[in-house]
Amino acid sequence: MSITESTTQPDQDIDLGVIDGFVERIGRTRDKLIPLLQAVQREFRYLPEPALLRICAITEISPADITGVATFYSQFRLKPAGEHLINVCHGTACHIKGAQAVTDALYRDLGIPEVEGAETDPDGLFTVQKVACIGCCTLAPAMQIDGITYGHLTPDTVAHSVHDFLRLKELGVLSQPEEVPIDNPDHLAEIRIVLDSCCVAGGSQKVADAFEEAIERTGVPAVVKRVGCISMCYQVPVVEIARPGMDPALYTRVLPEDAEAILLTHFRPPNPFKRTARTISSVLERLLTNESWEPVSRYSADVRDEPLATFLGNQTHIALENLGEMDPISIDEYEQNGGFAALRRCLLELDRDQIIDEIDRSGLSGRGGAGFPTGRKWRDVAGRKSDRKYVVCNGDEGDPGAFMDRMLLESCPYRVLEGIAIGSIAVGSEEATIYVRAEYPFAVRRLREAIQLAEARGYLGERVLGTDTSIYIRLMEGAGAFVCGEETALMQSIEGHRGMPVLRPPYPAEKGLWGKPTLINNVETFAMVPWIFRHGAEAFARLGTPESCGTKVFALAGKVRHGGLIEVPMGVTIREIVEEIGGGIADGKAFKAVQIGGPSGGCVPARLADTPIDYEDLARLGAIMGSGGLVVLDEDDCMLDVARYFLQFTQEESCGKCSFCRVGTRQMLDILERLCTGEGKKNDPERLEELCHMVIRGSLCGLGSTAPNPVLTTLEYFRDEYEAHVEGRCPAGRCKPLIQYIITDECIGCTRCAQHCPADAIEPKPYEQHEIDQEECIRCDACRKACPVDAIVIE
Amino acid sequence: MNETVTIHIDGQAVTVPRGSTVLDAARKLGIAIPAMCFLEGHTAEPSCMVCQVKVDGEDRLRPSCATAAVDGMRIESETAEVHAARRTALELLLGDHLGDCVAPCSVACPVDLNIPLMIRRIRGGQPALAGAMARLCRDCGGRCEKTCRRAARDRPVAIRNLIRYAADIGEEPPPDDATTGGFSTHVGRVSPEEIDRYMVEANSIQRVKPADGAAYTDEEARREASRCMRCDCRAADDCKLREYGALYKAHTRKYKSSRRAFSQNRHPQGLIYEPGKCIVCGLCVQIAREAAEPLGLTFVGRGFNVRVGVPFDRPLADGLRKVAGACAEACPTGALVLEEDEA
Ligand SMILES: Cc1cc2nc3c(=O)[nH]c(=O)nc-3n(C[C@H](O)[C@H](O)[C@H](O)COP(=O)(O)O)c2cc1C
Ligand code: SF4
Ligand code: SF4
Ligand code: SF4
Ligand code: SF4
Ligand code: FES
Ligand code: FES
Repeated sequence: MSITESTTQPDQDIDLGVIDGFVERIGRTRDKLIPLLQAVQREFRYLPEPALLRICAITEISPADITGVATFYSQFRLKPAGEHLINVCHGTACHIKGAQAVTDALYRDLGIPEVEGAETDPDGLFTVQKVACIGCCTLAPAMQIDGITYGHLTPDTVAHSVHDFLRLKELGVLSQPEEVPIDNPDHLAEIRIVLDSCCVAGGSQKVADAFEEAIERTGVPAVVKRVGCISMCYQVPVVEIARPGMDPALYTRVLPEDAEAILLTHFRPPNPFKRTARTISSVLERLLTNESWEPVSRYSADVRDEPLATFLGNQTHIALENLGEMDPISIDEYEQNGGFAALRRCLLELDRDQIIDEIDRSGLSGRGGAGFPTGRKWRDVAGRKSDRKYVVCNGDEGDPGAFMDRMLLESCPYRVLEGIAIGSIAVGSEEATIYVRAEYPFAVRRLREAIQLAEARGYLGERVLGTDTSIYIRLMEGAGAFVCGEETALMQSIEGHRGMPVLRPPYPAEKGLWGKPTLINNVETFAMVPWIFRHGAEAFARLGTPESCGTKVFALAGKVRHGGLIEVPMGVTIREIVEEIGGGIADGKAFKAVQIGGPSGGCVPARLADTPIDYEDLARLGAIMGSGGLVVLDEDDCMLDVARYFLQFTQEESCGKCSFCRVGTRQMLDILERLCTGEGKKNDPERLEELCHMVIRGSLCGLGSTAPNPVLTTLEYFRDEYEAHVEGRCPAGRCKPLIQYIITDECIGCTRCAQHCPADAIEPKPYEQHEIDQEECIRCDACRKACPVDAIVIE
Repeated sequence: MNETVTIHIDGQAVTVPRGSTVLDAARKLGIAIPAMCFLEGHTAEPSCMVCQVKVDGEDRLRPSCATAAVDGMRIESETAEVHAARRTALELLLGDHLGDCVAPCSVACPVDLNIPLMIRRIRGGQPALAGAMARLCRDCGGRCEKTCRRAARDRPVAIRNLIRYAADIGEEPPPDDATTGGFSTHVGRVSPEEIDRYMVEANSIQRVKPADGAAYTDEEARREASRCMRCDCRAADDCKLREYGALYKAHTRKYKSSRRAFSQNRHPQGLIYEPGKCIVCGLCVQIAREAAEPLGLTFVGRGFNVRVGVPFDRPLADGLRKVAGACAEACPTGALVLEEDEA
């Protein structure tokens, strides 16, 4: 929220009893501030002042704390919101696919005034907000309305999605079903209906019923199973046929009447059975296409990009092992797949030093970005003397183009819990906190359930597996602040403060949470740990390169043919990922660059695509591994626009503490804005470069000191584009003020452009060459996309 | 364990008690590292980054106010490289700074006459002192009036009439503070809304004409003097930003682009808060917290928009009931000042 917003509210009757109830349930201490505010916001959809004053009155929390915290985290709103929330994804993949144009269109369609801070329509029905990656980059650009995800948005169709939502609401089909784990004791083949909580009336549930019926009818040895959210981003309903020992087969957009045909392509029925009239091949043809032929593509809230199938390219699944095959909350299945064996071994057979030695020898390094050797960190914390130590699992996942941590937490919570438990044993801590990003409510639900179930089985909680060791794991939900991924800020946040980083040293290993020695690792780092104990440190170290061992999960998105999560051994080249796994660039365009590492990372040009992906090589190029966002750019992408996108992000996300980051990143953004609007000055590239180096060296924390990377790498590898912008040209045709849309004489006068133009800049003149009124044109690209003969060009 | 540590700063060895910071050690050596957000007796929460030093072998710089001195450390402080970084920190702060150290009229004046001070002396009943100042005027043709900010509202303050009026009074030599000059940041052109906010300082009456057509009476002079909006900064003489900016030869406009709007927040007991001059060092927030102010102050917002404010947007007077004076005293700039007895 902006500081100009007044915190005074319209008079409103607030039931203060509700607030008292929250305080009773959540607590009165300072560290409960964020959970309390979250509870209030869930209740009222904003933070009414009387509620906040009540909290001050009945807890230890001061007014200064409340205002400070409520205005720091972007989740909190001090003004009432509309009835429904529209979260438009402005993650990296969605940005390069035109999220801004979609947002602009949404504002226009809903009639939200174009003044700063306005986000709700005049009827108070919808509030539009920008969010970071919602984890379905292959649907980009995407948005969520309350629980429902809409993908492949375009400026001129986004309104259909809003109408679709209103229609669903009228039909009363917006609630989500409960999850139930299913037994499959005989290891039969499984028919996995992937999108369980599908919101479509008559969607997955009907399909599941149809399969059950068909199984009964045909006698095929299979069970129907609903797998959780590690789901397919293709068209719902999605069905996967998994037979032991065989590659799974995937079907999208399945209709109930297809069930039988699908079954019969995979199973020979035991009893004589007559096939239905429909030929299987025609069914398959229809089902296996991924074309969207409706104006609206709608998904449930927890739609996620899938891990790309293992047989694509050089992938090795450790963190992603068995994902999508296991029921995420079935502890039995996790055990059957070797789960908790590592914990058992660490607790019953190994002593602390042996555990740490094993991690050391595996060469595992932190997957949260910096790649610090995990064994060394564990040893440091283990060696500290203190009455109390803490473990923190960093699930803040701030990179707006990455979502693998969420996927791990949602689809395999036990693996992460097991890793945390082992880490706790190694360093001698009884209390661990998983800090999960605000935008991941589904992960929180899963984790909560998983912790309970694991406690019930004795893997967590008091006296784990009957030993004297106790391990308590609790959850903390973030509240929307990228900087809280930074470890010192994260701990400030757990303690209930504004997420302002503190100067290191002292490092968390020495003085962390509540001033005690604290081990902090990333979700994926912890998820690697059980595998290492099951397969041995050497097996892990053999993967990857000598310096960067093991595998890394990436969220591959952007202009590649196949996007999704991939897990590859360290050291594979960028080209292998883009071409072999990603299937090359979509639409026959030219591969230009990859953005790797998100806001702290850089852009690596196509000519350096043979660079292996490991910590050292990426650092040499000025990029970083980061948490694993990997966005592929093609010839249509403007590198200044990409740099500006990230700067805008870091600038908004800076905590605002130190001068270099607070003012420096803003200055850099100002210069980039200037260049992208044709107002650039001759020496702007030099100035920008100088400022980059100053900000890197002078910032207090990692956010500021890595924020210039996207700018520096584009300056280094795409200097000519900067020079072009100084001269007022955008070679990629992306920067609106520098381009014009022109209709050539290829125009056949079909009027489609005129119908799609949201700004009425084109007059429909059937069978004549059309023209664009440059004054009215808002450069939204709708006409160019609509033209059937490519007669509209950018100049 | 040893109770002291020895470090080297710019090649000089210095021994300090364990737990000291590099800044403490430097001060012991007499090396004047600039520090804005750190104040002796308060907790260092490094933010201004003006006190940076280079630790031998490290690439990034560190704030000396919060860097513990560790035995054997080698520090560079007074080198060109470190100075350049400090200058950049100051230039960034100045790039997001809204204030005139010296009023536009004084800047325009060829002899740097401290015009607003002179005007305040007329208004405050010290015409003799004002007169001693006024006699420095070389009658350049009225550059002061041509730049007077009040013109954006109605008409400039009649500075030359006031000078003529005052110059006739008294015979004393000009006081030390008669002129200003030196380092100054500038607000530049102001918008109509901003001018309204400047006007809280000033009387909105029309420009006063001498009734006799020649010279002001005492009463007329006082009335005209009350039209001055007091554009100069109240902290001009003890502002660290100004002091260090001058010392490090910072360019005030190097990083200037978009600027905030001027605003001013007044406390009935004479405390004035100008957010545009705040470097968000947090000292006032810390002082209010330690004094257990019932409301106190807090940071509001984040990133570039972060500001210091009173919780729930309450008036400043409610936020600082006990320690307004201490906060103004601690504030390194002119963001929080106590209204002095007008002189
Ligand atoms: C601005 C910033 C954002 C960060 N975001 C994350 C994050 O989202 N997730 C994460 O695990 N680490 C993040 N980190 C890194 C953490 O500070 C920390 O190094 C990491 O959690 C340590 O875990 P690891 O050793 O397992 O990588 C971030 C660091 C910075 C400076
Ligand atoms: S670098 Fe940025 S995020 Fe980090 S402390 Fe400074 S202002 Fe805050
Ligand atoms: S606060 Fe300091 S730098 Fe700013 S105008 Fe006042 S004296 Fe000048
Ligand atoms: S209003 Fe007063 S201080 Fe400001 S320029 Fe005019 S005379 Fe000078
Ligand atoms: S008002 Fe002064 S003391 Fe308070 S934060 Fe701003 S600069 Fe620091
Ligand atoms: S879903 Fe939008 S960037 Fe990932
Ligand atoms: S005085 Fe050290 S950072 Fe401000």
